[in-house]
Amino acid sequence: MVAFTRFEVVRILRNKRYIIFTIGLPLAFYFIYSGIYSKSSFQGTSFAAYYMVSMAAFAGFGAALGAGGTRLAMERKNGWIHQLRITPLSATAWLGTKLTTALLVAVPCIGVVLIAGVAAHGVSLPATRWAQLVVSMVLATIPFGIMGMVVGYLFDEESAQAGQTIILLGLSILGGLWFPLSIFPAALRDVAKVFPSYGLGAVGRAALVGQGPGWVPVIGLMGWTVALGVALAWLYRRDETRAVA
Amino acid sequence: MIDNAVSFVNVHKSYGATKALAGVSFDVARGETVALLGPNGAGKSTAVGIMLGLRKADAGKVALSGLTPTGAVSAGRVGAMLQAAGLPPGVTVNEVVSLVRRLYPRPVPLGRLVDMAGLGDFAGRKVDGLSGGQAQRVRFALAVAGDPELVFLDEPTVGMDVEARRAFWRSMERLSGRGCTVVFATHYLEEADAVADRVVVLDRGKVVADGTAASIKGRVSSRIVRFELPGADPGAMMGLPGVVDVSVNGPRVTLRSTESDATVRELLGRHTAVHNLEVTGAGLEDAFLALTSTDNGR
Repeated sequence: MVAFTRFEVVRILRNKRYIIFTIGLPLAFYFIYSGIYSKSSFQGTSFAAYYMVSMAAFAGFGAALGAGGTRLAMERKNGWIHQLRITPLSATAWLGTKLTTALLVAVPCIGVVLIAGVAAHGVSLPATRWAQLVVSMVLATIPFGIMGMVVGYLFDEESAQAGQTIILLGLSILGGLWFPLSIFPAALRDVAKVFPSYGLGAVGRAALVGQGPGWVPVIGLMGWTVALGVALAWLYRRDETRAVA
Repeated sequence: MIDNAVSFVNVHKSYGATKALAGVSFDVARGETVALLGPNGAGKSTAVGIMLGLRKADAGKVALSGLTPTGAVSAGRVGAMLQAAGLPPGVTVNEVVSLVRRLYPRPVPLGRLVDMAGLGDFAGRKVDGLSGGQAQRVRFALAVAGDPELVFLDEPTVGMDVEARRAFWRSMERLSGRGCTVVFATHYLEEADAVADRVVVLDRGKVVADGTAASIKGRVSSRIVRFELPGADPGAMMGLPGVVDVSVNGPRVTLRSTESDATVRELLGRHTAVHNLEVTGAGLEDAFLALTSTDNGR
Protein backbone atom coordinates (compact mmCIF):
# COMPACT_ATOMS: atom_id res chain seq x y z
CA MET A 1 0.00 0.00 0.00
CA VAL A 2 2.96 2.30 0.65
CA ALA A 3 4.22 1.59 -2.85
CA PHE A 4 0.81 2.24 -4.32
CA THR A 5 0.42 5.52 -2.41
CA ARG A 6 3.84 6.68 -3.62
CA PHE A 7 2.87 5.69 -7.17
CA GLU A 8 -0.30 7.81 -6.94
CA VAL A 9 1.40 10.83 -5.35
CA VAL A 10 4.16 10.80 -7.97
CA ARG A 11 1.60 10.64 -10.77
CA ILE A 12 -0.23 13.67 -9.39
CA LEU A 13 2.86 15.75 -8.71
CA ARG A 14 4.14 15.11 -12.24
CA ASN A 15 1.05 16.73 -13.64
CA LYS A 16 2.14 20.34 -13.93
CA ARG A 17 -1.26 21.69 -14.84
CA TYR A 18 -2.71 20.21 -11.66
CA ILE A 19 0.00 21.82 -9.53
CA ILE A 20 -0.28 25.21 -11.20
CA PHE A 21 -4.06 25.39 -10.91
CA THR A 22 -4.25 24.04 -7.39
CA ILE A 23 -1.55 26.26 -5.91
CA GLY A 24 -1.54 29.16 -8.38
CA LEU A 25 -5.03 30.49 -7.78
CA PRO A 26 -4.87 30.55 -3.96
CA LEU A 27 -1.41 32.15 -4.07
CA ALA A 28 -2.52 34.81 -6.54
CA PHE A 29 -5.59 35.61 -4.40
CA TYR A 30 -3.44 35.73 -1.32
CA PHE A 31 -0.93 38.17 -2.72
CA ILE A 32 -3.63 40.44 -4.18
CA TYR A 33 -5.87 40.71 -1.11
CA SER A 34 -3.26 40.52 1.60
CA GLY A 35 -1.35 43.21 -0.31
CA ILE A 36 -4.39 45.52 -0.26
CA TYR A 37 -5.26 44.95 3.40
CA SER A 38 -1.85 44.09 4.74
CA LYS A 39 -1.94 46.62 7.56
CA SER A 40 -5.42 45.81 8.88
CA SER A 41 -5.97 43.81 11.98
CA PHE A 42 -8.88 41.45 11.66
CA GLN A 43 -10.79 39.17 14.06
CA GLY A 44 -8.08 39.20 16.69
CA THR A 45 -5.21 38.72 14.26
CA SER A 46 -3.79 40.42 11.17
CA PHE A 47 -5.64 40.22 7.89
CA ALA A 48 -2.47 38.75 6.38
CA ALA A 49 -2.65 35.82 8.82
CA TYR A 50 -6.43 35.48 8.52
CA TYR A 51 -6.33 35.35 4.75
CA MET A 52 -3.31 33.06 4.77
CA VAL A 53 -5.49 30.47 6.53
CA SER A 54 -8.38 31.08 4.13
CA MET A 55 -6.21 30.55 1.08
CA ALA A 56 -4.37 27.60 2.61
CA ALA A 57 -7.81 26.05 3.15
CA PHE A 58 -8.76 26.83 -0.46
CA ALA A 59 -5.52 25.24 -1.71
CA GLY A 60 -5.92 22.15 0.49
CA PHE A 61 -9.55 21.79 -0.58
CA GLY A 62 -8.58 22.02 -4.27
CA ALA A 63 -5.70 19.57 -3.92
CA ALA A 64 -7.71 16.94 -2.05
CA LEU A 65 -10.70 17.30 -4.36
CA GLY A 66 -8.50 17.11 -7.47
CA ALA A 67 -6.73 13.97 -6.28
CA GLY A 68 -9.99 12.16 -7.07
CA GLY A 69 -12.31 14.15 -9.32
CA THR A 70 -11.45 14.25 -12.99
CA ARG A 71 -8.47 11.93 -12.55
CA LEU A 72 -10.66 9.20 -11.06
CA ALA A 73 -13.34 9.69 -13.71
CA MET A 74 -10.65 9.21 -16.37
CA GLU A 75 -9.28 6.12 -14.67
CA ARG A 76 -12.77 4.63 -14.63
CA LYS A 77 -13.23 5.46 -18.29
CA ASN A 78 -9.85 4.17 -19.45
CA GLY A 79 -10.12 0.94 -17.48
CA TRP A 80 -7.20 1.23 -15.04
CA ILE A 81 -9.73 0.66 -12.25
CA HIS A 82 -10.78 -2.62 -13.90
CA GLN A 83 -7.18 -3.72 -14.14
CA LEU A 84 -6.73 -3.12 -10.41
CA ARG A 85 -9.90 -5.00 -9.62
CA ILE A 86 -8.44 -8.21 -11.03
CA THR A 87 -5.40 -7.95 -8.74
CA PRO A 88 -5.42 -8.98 -5.05
CA LEU A 89 -5.71 -5.32 -4.04
CA SER A 90 -8.82 -5.07 -1.82
CA ALA A 91 -11.47 -2.40 -2.17
CA THR A 92 -10.57 -1.01 1.27
CA ALA A 93 -6.87 -0.79 0.40
CA TRP A 94 -7.69 0.94 -2.86
CA LEU A 95 -9.99 3.50 -1.26
CA GLY A 96 -7.55 3.99 1.61
CA THR A 97 -4.73 4.64 -0.84
CA LYS A 98 -6.76 7.20 -2.73
CA LEU A 99 -7.67 9.02 0.49
CA THR A 100 -4.11 8.96 1.83
CA THR A 101 -2.92 10.30 -1.51
CA ALA A 102 -5.42 13.16 -1.32
CA LEU A 103 -4.12 14.15 2.13
CA LEU A 104 -0.49 13.85 1.06
CA VAL A 105 -0.89 16.14 -1.92
CA ALA A 106 -2.88 18.61 0.17
CA VAL A 107 0.04 19.03 2.60
CA PRO A 108 2.43 20.85 0.23
CA CYS A 109 -0.41 22.94 -1.20
CA ILE A 110 -1.40 24.14 2.27
CA GLY A 111 2.28 24.57 3.13
CA VAL A 112 3.07 26.80 0.18
CA VAL A 113 0.39 29.32 1.20
CA LEU A 114 1.60 29.31 4.81
CA ILE A 115 5.14 29.95 3.61
CA ALA A 116 3.83 32.81 1.47
CA GLY A 117 2.23 34.31 4.58
CA VAL A 118 5.47 34.14 6.50
CA ALA A 119 7.64 35.32 3.63
CA ALA A 120 5.46 38.14 2.30
CA HIS A 121 3.87 39.47 5.49
CA GLY A 122 5.98 38.11 8.30
CA VAL A 123 3.08 36.17 9.83
CA SER A 124 4.50 34.76 13.03
CA LEU A 125 3.00 32.29 15.48
CA PRO A 126 4.35 30.22 18.36
CA ALA A 127 5.48 26.76 17.24
CA THR A 128 2.57 25.05 19.01
CA ARG A 129 0.06 27.14 17.09
CA TRP A 130 1.78 26.38 13.77
CA ALA A 131 1.62 22.71 14.68
CA GLN A 132 -2.06 22.94 15.60
CA LEU A 133 -2.73 24.88 12.39
CA VAL A 134 -1.09 22.35 10.11
CA VAL A 135 -2.37 19.21 11.81
CA SER A 136 -5.95 20.41 12.16
CA MET A 137 -6.12 21.68 8.59
CA VAL A 138 -4.66 18.52 7.10
CA LEU A 139 -7.10 16.37 9.09
CA ALA A 140 -9.92 18.65 8.01
CA THR A 141 -9.16 17.91 4.34
CA ILE A 142 -10.33 14.29 4.84
CA PRO A 143 -13.93 15.01 3.79
CA PHE A 144 -12.63 16.82 0.69
CA GLY A 145 -10.54 13.82 -0.30
CA ILE A 146 -13.67 11.67 -0.06
CA MET A 147 -15.60 14.35 -1.92
CA GLY A 148 -13.07 14.11 -4.76
CA MET A 149 -13.71 10.40 -5.06
CA VAL A 150 -17.47 10.94 -4.97
CA VAL A 151 -17.07 13.43 -7.83
CA GLY A 152 -14.93 10.92 -9.74
CA TYR A 153 -17.59 8.24 -9.42
CA LEU A 154 -20.57 10.53 -9.88
CA PHE A 155 -19.46 12.25 -13.08
CA ASP A 156 -18.10 10.82 -16.30
CA GLU A 157 -14.73 11.98 -17.58
CA GLU A 158 -16.24 14.78 -19.65
CA SER A 159 -18.41 16.40 -17.02
CA ALA A 160 -16.10 15.78 -14.05
CA GLN A 161 -13.91 18.82 -14.75
CA ALA A 162 -16.89 21.17 -14.72
CA GLY A 163 -18.43 19.46 -11.68
CA GLN A 164 -15.18 19.62 -9.78
CA THR A 165 -14.61 23.31 -10.56
CA ILE A 166 -18.16 24.34 -9.64
CA ILE A 167 -17.95 22.45 -6.35
CA LEU A 168 -14.54 23.92 -5.51
CA LEU A 169 -15.43 27.53 -6.29
CA GLY A 170 -19.01 27.29 -5.01
CA LEU A 171 -18.18 25.76 -1.65
CA SER A 172 -15.11 27.98 -1.20
CA ILE A 173 -17.24 31.09 -1.62
CA LEU A 174 -20.24 29.83 0.38
CA GLY A 175 -18.03 28.58 3.21
CA GLY A 176 -16.33 31.96 3.57
CA LEU A 177 -12.89 31.10 2.23
CA TRP A 178 -12.77 33.76 -0.48
CA PHE A 179 -14.51 36.52 1.46
CA PRO A 180 -14.85 36.70 5.25
CA LEU A 181 -18.24 35.59 6.57
CA SER A 182 -18.51 38.93 8.39
CA ILE A 183 -19.33 40.66 5.09
CA PHE A 184 -22.08 38.09 4.31
CA PRO A 185 -25.72 39.00 4.96
CA ALA A 186 -26.74 37.70 8.40
CA ALA A 187 -29.01 34.97 7.01
CA LEU A 188 -26.28 33.55 4.78
CA ARG A 189 -23.75 33.66 7.60
CA ASP A 190 -25.51 30.88 9.48
CA VAL A 191 -26.13 28.82 6.37
CA ALA A 192 -22.42 29.05 5.55
CA LYS A 193 -21.55 27.13 8.70
CA VAL A 194 -23.21 24.04 7.23
CA PHE A 195 -20.56 23.69 4.53
CA PRO A 196 -17.37 21.68 5.11
CA SER A 197 -15.32 24.53 3.62
CA TYR A 198 -16.43 26.66 6.57
CA GLY A 199 -15.15 23.99 8.96
CA LEU A 200 -11.79 23.79 7.20
CA GLY A 201 -11.26 27.56 7.48
CA ALA A 202 -12.60 27.66 11.04
CA VAL A 203 -10.22 25.06 12.48
CA GLY A 204 -7.32 26.98 10.92
CA ARG A 205 -8.47 30.33 12.27
CA ALA A 206 -8.90 28.84 15.74
CA ALA A 207 -5.26 27.77 15.68
CA LEU A 208 -4.20 31.32 14.71
CA VAL A 209 -5.61 32.76 17.92
CA GLY A 210 -4.65 29.77 20.03
CA GLN A 211 -8.16 28.44 20.66
CA GLY A 212 -9.63 24.99 20.32
CA PRO A 213 -11.43 24.41 17.02
CA GLY A 214 -14.90 24.48 18.65
CA TRP A 215 -17.77 22.04 18.21
CA VAL A 216 -19.57 23.56 15.26
CA PRO A 217 -16.76 23.09 12.68
CA VAL A 218 -15.66 19.74 14.09
CA ILE A 219 -19.13 18.24 14.07
CA GLY A 220 -19.73 19.72 10.65
CA LEU A 221 -16.54 18.18 9.23
CA MET A 222 -17.25 14.81 10.83
CA GLY A 223 -20.83 14.85 9.56
CA TRP A 224 -19.63 15.55 6.01
CA THR A 225 -17.01 12.82 6.30
CA VAL A 226 -19.66 10.27 7.25
CA ALA A 227 -22.20 11.44 4.66
CA LEU A 228 -19.66 11.52 1.83
CA GLY A 229 -18.25 8.18 2.96
CA VAL A 230 -21.69 6.59 2.71
CA ALA A 231 -22.20 8.15 -0.72
CA LEU A 232 -18.79 6.89 -1.84
CA ALA A 233 -19.47 3.35 -0.65
CA TRP A 234 -22.74 3.33 -2.56
CA LEU A 235 -21.19 4.78 -5.74
CA TYR A 236 -18.27 2.36 -5.54
CA ARG A 237 -20.62 -0.62 -5.38
CA ARG A 238 -22.70 0.74 -8.20
CA ASP A 239 -19.57 1.07 -10.33
CA GLU A 240 -18.45 -2.42 -9.39
CA THR A 241 -21.62 -4.06 -10.63
CA ARG A 242 -21.52 -2.27 -13.96
CA ALA A 243 -20.66 -4.31 -16.99
CA VAL A 244 -16.95 -4.15 -17.66
CA ALA A 245 -15.46 -7.10 -19.42
CA MET B 1 -9.84 -35.35 -6.55
CA ILE B 2 -7.98 -32.34 -7.87
CA ASP B 3 -10.26 -29.44 -8.69
CA ASN B 4 -10.38 -28.22 -12.23
CA ALA B 5 -8.73 -24.86 -12.91
CA VAL B 6 -12.09 -23.63 -14.14
CA SER B 7 -15.48 -25.16 -13.61
CA PHE B 8 -18.45 -23.53 -15.28
CA VAL B 9 -21.75 -25.28 -14.60
CA ASN B 10 -24.99 -24.29 -16.29
CA VAL B 11 -24.27 -20.56 -16.10
CA HIS B 12 -26.95 -18.09 -17.10
CA LYS B 13 -26.56 -14.35 -17.53
CA SER B 14 -28.94 -11.81 -19.01
CA TYR B 15 -28.69 -8.08 -19.58
CA GLY B 16 -32.28 -6.94 -19.51
CA ALA B 17 -34.02 -8.90 -22.24
CA THR B 18 -30.76 -10.00 -23.87
CA LYS B 19 -29.55 -13.43 -22.88
CA ALA B 20 -25.74 -13.32 -22.94
CA LEU B 21 -25.24 -16.82 -21.54
CA ALA B 22 -28.00 -19.40 -21.71
CA GLY B 23 -26.82 -22.37 -19.67
CA VAL B 24 -23.11 -22.59 -20.44
CA SER B 25 -21.07 -25.48 -19.00
CA PHE B 26 -17.44 -26.39 -19.53
CA ASP B 27 -14.39 -27.33 -17.51
CA VAL B 28 -10.75 -26.42 -17.93
CA ALA B 29 -8.23 -28.87 -16.50
CA ARG B 30 -5.07 -27.61 -14.83
CA GLY B 31 -2.35 -26.76 -17.30
CA GLU B 32 -4.70 -26.80 -20.25
CA THR B 33 -4.88 -24.01 -22.83
CA VAL B 34 -8.46 -23.46 -23.91
CA ALA B 35 -9.82 -21.08 -26.53
CA LEU B 36 -13.29 -19.62 -26.20
CA LEU B 37 -14.19 -19.13 -29.81
CA GLY B 38 -17.23 -17.36 -31.09
CA PRO B 39 -18.50 -14.49 -33.18
CA ASN B 40 -18.98 -11.05 -31.61
CA GLY B 41 -21.84 -11.15 -29.13
CA ALA B 42 -21.51 -14.90 -28.56
CA GLY B 43 -20.95 -14.37 -24.81
CA LYS B 44 -17.16 -14.82 -24.63
CA SER B 45 -16.42 -11.60 -22.74
CA THR B 46 -19.37 -12.14 -20.43
CA ALA B 47 -18.03 -15.61 -19.59
CA VAL B 48 -14.55 -14.19 -18.88
CA GLY B 49 -16.04 -11.41 -16.74
CA ILE B 50 -17.97 -13.97 -14.67
CA MET B 51 -14.90 -16.18 -14.26
CA LEU B 52 -13.04 -13.17 -12.83
CA GLY B 53 -15.84 -12.19 -10.47
CA LEU B 54 -16.34 -8.88 -12.29
CA ARG B 55 -19.89 -9.93 -13.07
CA LYS B 56 -22.32 -12.12 -11.21
CA ALA B 57 -24.03 -14.99 -12.94
CA ASP B 58 -27.83 -15.02 -12.67
CA ALA B 59 -27.73 -18.77 -12.13
CA GLY B 60 -25.24 -21.61 -12.23
CA LYS B 61 -21.95 -22.39 -10.50
CA VAL B 62 -18.49 -21.04 -11.22
CA ALA B 63 -15.32 -22.15 -9.45
CA LEU B 64 -11.61 -21.50 -10.03
CA SER B 65 -9.47 -24.25 -8.50
CA GLY B 66 -12.32 -24.90 -6.09
CA LEU B 67 -12.50 -21.23 -4.99
CA THR B 68 -15.02 -18.55 -5.83
CA PRO B 69 -13.83 -16.19 -8.59
CA THR B 70 -13.33 -13.27 -6.17
CA GLY B 71 -11.58 -15.58 -3.70
CA ALA B 72 -9.15 -16.77 -6.35
CA VAL B 73 -8.51 -13.20 -7.53
CA SER B 74 -7.81 -11.85 -4.05
CA ALA B 75 -5.49 -14.79 -3.34
CA GLY B 76 -3.45 -13.65 -6.34
CA ARG B 77 -3.90 -16.96 -8.16
CA VAL B 78 -5.47 -15.44 -11.26
CA GLY B 79 -4.24 -12.92 -13.80
CA ALA B 80 -6.15 -11.39 -16.66
CA MET B 81 -5.87 -9.26 -19.71
CA LEU B 82 -9.21 -7.60 -20.35
CA GLN B 83 -10.40 -5.58 -23.29
CA ALA B 84 -11.85 -2.98 -20.95
CA ALA B 85 -8.70 -2.64 -18.82
CA GLY B 86 -6.40 0.33 -19.38
CA LEU B 87 -3.15 1.77 -18.10
CA PRO B 88 -2.85 4.77 -15.77
CA PRO B 89 -1.66 7.91 -17.55
CA GLY B 90 1.52 9.71 -16.50
CA VAL B 91 3.76 6.77 -15.52
CA THR B 92 6.40 4.69 -17.26
CA VAL B 93 5.94 1.06 -18.28
CA ASN B 94 8.45 0.06 -15.61
CA GLU B 95 6.57 1.93 -12.89
CA VAL B 96 3.18 0.41 -13.62
CA VAL B 97 4.57 -3.10 -14.01
CA SER B 98 6.55 -2.77 -10.76
CA LEU B 99 3.49 -1.52 -8.93
CA VAL B 100 1.23 -4.36 -10.08
CA ARG B 101 3.92 -6.91 -9.17
CA ARG B 102 3.87 -5.59 -5.62
CA LEU B 103 0.15 -6.24 -5.30
CA TYR B 104 0.76 -10.00 -5.54
CA PRO B 105 2.17 -12.24 -2.83
CA ARG B 106 4.65 -14.14 -5.06
CA PRO B 107 5.42 -12.03 -8.13
CA VAL B 108 7.60 -12.95 -11.10
CA PRO B 109 11.03 -11.24 -10.79
CA LEU B 110 10.92 -7.95 -12.69
CA GLY B 111 13.69 -8.83 -15.13
CA ARG B 112 12.03 -12.08 -16.13
CA LEU B 113 8.67 -10.38 -16.45
CA VAL B 114 10.10 -7.74 -18.80
CA ASP B 115 11.59 -10.61 -20.83
CA MET B 116 8.44 -12.72 -20.87
CA ALA B 117 6.30 -9.88 -22.16
CA GLY B 118 8.97 -8.41 -24.46
CA LEU B 119 8.95 -4.97 -22.83
CA GLY B 120 12.71 -4.39 -23.03
CA ASP B 121 12.62 -1.81 -25.81
CA PHE B 122 10.16 0.52 -24.17
CA ALA B 123 10.24 -0.22 -20.43
CA GLY B 124 11.36 3.34 -19.68
CA ARG B 125 8.74 5.05 -21.81
CA LYS B 126 5.55 6.70 -20.56
CA VAL B 127 2.51 4.49 -21.07
CA ASP B 128 0.63 7.37 -22.71
CA GLY B 129 2.73 7.20 -25.89
CA LEU B 130 2.73 3.45 -26.56
CA SER B 131 1.47 1.87 -29.76
CA GLY B 132 -1.52 -0.45 -29.55
CA GLY B 133 0.67 -3.55 -29.76
CA GLN B 134 3.07 -2.28 -27.09
CA ALA B 135 0.17 -1.47 -24.76
CA GLN B 136 -1.13 -5.01 -25.26
CA ARG B 137 2.26 -6.38 -24.23
CA VAL B 138 2.22 -4.23 -21.09
CA ARG B 139 -1.25 -5.54 -20.26
CA PHE B 140 0.03 -9.07 -20.81
CA ALA B 141 2.85 -8.31 -18.36
CA LEU B 142 0.29 -7.09 -15.82
CA ALA B 143 -1.74 -10.28 -16.31
CA VAL B 144 1.21 -12.55 -15.52
CA ALA B 145 3.03 -10.28 -13.02
CA GLY B 146 1.78 -12.26 -10.02
CA ASP B 147 2.93 -15.62 -11.42
CA PRO B 148 -0.71 -16.79 -11.54
CA GLU B 149 -1.71 -20.41 -11.99
CA LEU B 150 -4.58 -19.34 -14.22
CA VAL B 151 -4.60 -16.59 -16.83
CA PHE B 152 -7.55 -15.18 -18.76
CA LEU B 153 -6.87 -13.33 -21.97
CA ASP B 154 -9.82 -11.59 -23.60
CA GLU B 155 -9.15 -11.06 -27.31
CA PRO B 156 -5.43 -10.63 -26.55
CA THR B 157 -4.22 -10.05 -30.10
CA VAL B 158 -6.98 -7.81 -31.35
CA GLY B 159 -5.48 -4.96 -33.37
CA MET B 160 -2.05 -6.62 -33.70
CA ASP B 161 -0.40 -7.20 -37.06
CA VAL B 162 0.46 -10.73 -38.16
CA GLU B 163 4.03 -10.64 -36.88
CA ALA B 164 3.07 -9.24 -33.47
CA ARG B 165 0.29 -11.80 -33.23
CA ARG B 166 2.65 -14.70 -33.84
CA ALA B 167 5.12 -13.31 -31.32
CA PHE B 168 2.28 -13.08 -28.83
CA TRP B 169 1.32 -16.70 -29.44
CA ARG B 170 4.85 -17.69 -28.53
CA SER B 171 4.48 -15.81 -25.23
CA MET B 172 1.26 -17.72 -24.59
CA GLU B 173 2.97 -21.02 -25.35
CA ARG B 174 5.81 -20.20 -22.95
CA LEU B 175 3.23 -19.42 -20.30
CA SER B 176 1.54 -22.77 -20.75
CA GLY B 177 4.99 -24.39 -20.84
CA ARG B 178 5.45 -23.15 -17.29
CA GLY B 179 2.36 -25.09 -16.24
CA CYS B 180 0.00 -22.14 -16.27
CA THR B 181 -3.63 -22.74 -17.27
CA VAL B 182 -4.59 -20.35 -20.04
CA VAL B 183 -8.13 -19.48 -21.10
CA PHE B 184 -8.42 -17.04 -23.97
CA ALA B 185 -11.34 -15.62 -25.87
CA THR B 186 -10.85 -14.97 -29.54
CA HIS B 187 -12.63 -14.69 -32.81
CA TYR B 188 -9.49 -15.54 -34.76
CA LEU B 189 -9.83 -19.17 -35.75
CA GLU B 190 -6.18 -19.40 -36.64
CA GLU B 191 -5.32 -18.35 -33.10
CA ALA B 192 -7.48 -21.03 -31.53
CA ASP B 193 -6.08 -23.63 -33.93
CA ALA B 194 -2.46 -22.64 -33.33
CA VAL B 195 -2.40 -22.18 -29.57
CA ALA B 196 -5.24 -24.04 -27.87
CA ASP B 197 -5.29 -27.64 -26.63
CA ARG B 198 -9.05 -27.43 -26.74
CA VAL B 199 -11.62 -25.15 -28.27
CA VAL B 200 -14.99 -24.28 -26.77
CA VAL B 201 -17.19 -22.74 -29.42
CA LEU B 202 -19.84 -20.34 -28.15
CA ASP B 203 -22.70 -19.01 -30.19
CA ARG B 204 -25.52 -16.86 -28.84
CA GLY B 205 -24.76 -17.76 -25.28
CA LYS B 206 -24.56 -21.51 -25.80
CA VAL B 207 -21.72 -24.00 -26.15
CA VAL B 208 -22.11 -25.41 -29.66
CA ALA B 209 -18.89 -27.45 -29.70
CA ASP B 210 -16.21 -28.44 -27.19
CA GLY B 211 -13.15 -30.46 -28.18
CA THR B 212 -9.77 -30.30 -29.87
CA ALA B 213 -9.51 -28.19 -32.99
CA ALA B 214 -9.10 -31.42 -34.98
CA SER B 215 -12.24 -33.00 -33.55
CA ILE B 216 -14.24 -29.89 -34.26
CA LYS B 217 -12.99 -29.82 -37.83
CA GLY B 218 -13.95 -33.51 -38.09
CA ARG B 219 -17.52 -32.78 -37.08
CA VAL B 220 -18.03 -31.04 -40.36
CA SER B 221 -18.46 -33.49 -43.18
CA SER B 222 -17.93 -31.03 -46.03
CA ARG B 223 -14.69 -30.85 -47.98
CA ILE B 224 -13.10 -28.15 -50.04
CA VAL B 225 -12.53 -28.69 -53.78
CA ARG B 226 -10.16 -26.20 -55.41
CA PHE B 227 -9.17 -26.04 -59.06
CA GLU B 228 -8.57 -23.67 -61.95
CA LEU B 229 -11.04 -23.32 -64.78
CA PRO B 230 -10.98 -20.24 -67.01
CA GLY B 231 -14.43 -18.74 -67.49
CA ALA B 232 -16.11 -20.88 -64.83
CA ASP B 233 -19.82 -20.14 -64.39
CA PRO B 234 -20.78 -20.03 -60.68
CA GLY B 235 -24.33 -21.15 -61.48
CA ALA B 236 -23.08 -24.26 -63.24
CA MET B 237 -20.69 -24.99 -60.36
CA MET B 238 -23.55 -24.75 -57.83
CA GLY B 239 -25.39 -27.33 -59.93
CA LEU B 240 -22.72 -29.98 -59.33
CA PRO B 241 -23.74 -32.73 -56.89
CA GLY B 242 -23.06 -32.04 -53.19
CA VAL B 243 -21.91 -28.44 -53.68
CA VAL B 244 -23.13 -26.09 -50.93
CA ASP B 245 -20.92 -23.07 -51.56
CA VAL B 246 -19.13 -21.62 -54.58
CA SER B 247 -16.54 -18.91 -54.90
CA VAL B 248 -14.96 -17.90 -58.21
CA ASN B 249 -11.91 -15.66 -58.30
CA GLY B 250 -10.65 -15.25 -61.88
CA PRO B 251 -9.79 -18.72 -63.07
CA ARG B 252 -9.61 -20.07 -59.48
CA VAL B 253 -12.70 -21.82 -58.18
CA THR B 254 -13.34 -23.00 -54.63
CA LEU B 255 -16.26 -25.29 -53.89
CA ARG B 256 -17.48 -26.59 -50.56
CA SER B 257 -19.11 -29.95 -50.99
CA THR B 258 -20.76 -32.50 -48.75
CA GLU B 259 -20.07 -35.27 -51.34
CA SER B 260 -16.70 -34.37 -52.75
CA ASP B 261 -16.20 -37.66 -54.65
CA ALA B 262 -19.40 -37.17 -56.63
CA THR B 263 -18.60 -33.50 -57.15
CA VAL B 264 -15.18 -34.23 -58.61
CA ARG B 265 -16.43 -37.07 -60.84
CA GLU B 266 -19.11 -34.87 -62.35
CA LEU B 267 -16.82 -31.86 -62.60
CA LEU B 268 -14.15 -33.69 -64.57
CA GLY B 269 -16.76 -35.28 -66.79
CA ARG B 270 -18.29 -31.92 -67.71
CA HIS B 271 -15.23 -29.67 -67.82
CA THR B 272 -12.11 -31.09 -69.43
CA ALA B 273 -10.23 -27.77 -68.97
CA VAL B 274 -10.10 -28.23 -65.17
CA HIS B 275 -6.54 -28.35 -63.85
CA ASN B 276 -4.61 -28.07 -60.56
CA LEU B 277 -7.42 -29.94 -58.79
CA GLU B 278 -7.09 -30.23 -55.02
CA VAL B 279 -9.45 -31.72 -52.40
CA THR B 280 -8.87 -30.86 -48.74
CA GLY B 281 -10.70 -31.39 -45.47
CA ALA B 282 -12.55 -28.40 -44.15
CA GLY B 283 -10.49 -26.02 -41.99
CA LEU B 284 -11.51 -24.78 -38.58
CA GLU B 285 -13.02 -21.78 -40.25
CA ASP B 286 -15.38 -23.92 -42.31
CA ALA B 287 -16.28 -25.88 -39.21
CA PHE B 288 -16.88 -22.65 -37.35
CA LEU B 289 -19.11 -21.28 -40.06
CA ALA B 290 -21.06 -24.52 -40.15
CA LEU B 291 -21.45 -24.53 -36.35
CA THR B 292 -22.43 -20.93 -35.87
CA SER B 293 -25.27 -19.39 -37.77
CA THR B 294 -24.50 -16.82 -40.41
CA ASP B 295 -28.03 -15.64 -41.06
CA ASN B 296 -27.49 -12.24 -39.44
CA GLY B 297 -24.31 -11.42 -41.30
CA ARG B 298 -21.89 -11.99 -38.42
